[in-house]
Amino acid sequence: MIYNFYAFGRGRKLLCREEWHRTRPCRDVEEESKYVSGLLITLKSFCQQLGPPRTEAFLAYATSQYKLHSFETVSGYRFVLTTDPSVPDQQESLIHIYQLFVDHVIKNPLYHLGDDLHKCPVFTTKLHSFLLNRPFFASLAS
Amino acid sequence: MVVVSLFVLNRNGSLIYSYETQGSHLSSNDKIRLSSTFHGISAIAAQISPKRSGGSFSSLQGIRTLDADTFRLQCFHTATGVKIFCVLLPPYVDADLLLRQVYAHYSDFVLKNPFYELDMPIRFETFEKEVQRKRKAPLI
Repeated sequence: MIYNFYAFGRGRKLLCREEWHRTRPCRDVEEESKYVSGLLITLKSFCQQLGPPRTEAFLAYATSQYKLHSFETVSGYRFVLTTDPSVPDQQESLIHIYQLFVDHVIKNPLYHLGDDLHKCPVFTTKLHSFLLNRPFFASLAS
Repeated sequence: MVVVSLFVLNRNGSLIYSYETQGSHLSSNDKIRLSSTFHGISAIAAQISPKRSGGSFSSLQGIRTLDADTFRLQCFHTATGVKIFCVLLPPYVDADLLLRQVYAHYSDFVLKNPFYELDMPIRFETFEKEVQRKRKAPLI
C-alpha cells in the first residue's frame, strides 16, 4: 500500500505532494510538509553523527503503522515515499522517479526551479502510472 | 550480530543507560543529545502517520527500525514510554530478542531495586553485567 509521495526542492520547499489510501486525513498540508522536510534534515544529521564514520545518507525508517523511504540527491532534492511497513526497500523506485523528474521537469525549458511540479503534467502522469503499477500499490504487501 | 551500541531512554526522552563498543567516537554529551534527538524524531514520526491507529498506545507507534547506508537502528518501545534501542552493523540480524531481554533485565535489576529512583540514570553492576552477557550471547 502506498500512502504518500513528496518531493522537496532546495530550501525545504514542497514541490509535489500526492496521496492515496490514507485512512488518517491530513488536516494541514503545509504543517505536515514542514514536519516531513524537517524530519528528513534531522534524520540525515542524526545518522551521520550516530553511525560509523562515512555514513552519508538516511534511507528509510519504519514504525508499526507505516514506512518512510527517502532519497536525497547531491543537488539537495529529496524524494519521499510512505508505504505500509512490509514493503521492501524502495531506493530503486525513488531513483527511477528522480530520473523521470530530470527528464520531464528539469529539462523542460518552461519550468522554473522551485515551481510546483503540477506545471509539468507529463511528469505527474508518468509518476502516477509508475506508482500505480507497483505490485504493492493498493494491497498490503505480504 | 554486531551490536555497536545500546541505549535506554526514560519516559521523558533522557538517556539513562548507554553502552558502546570500542568502535565508538561519541562523547557522553553527544550520546545524551543524540538519544534525545531520537526521542523527538520518534514522536514526530508517530504524529505524521498516514494510517489511523487502532487505538493502541501512542508510545508504541514510534520508530521501530531506522536504516542508513552503513548501519541500522532498532528500537523497542515499552507501554510505559521507555525506549531501548541499539545500533547494528551489517549483516543485519533482528535484534528484537536482545532488546526484549534488556527490558526484562531493566524490570528485574533496576525497577525492583528499592534504591532506584524512577527516571534516573542506571548505575547498577548487576544490570550492566547481565546486559553485557546478553549482548554477546542473546539466545541464552
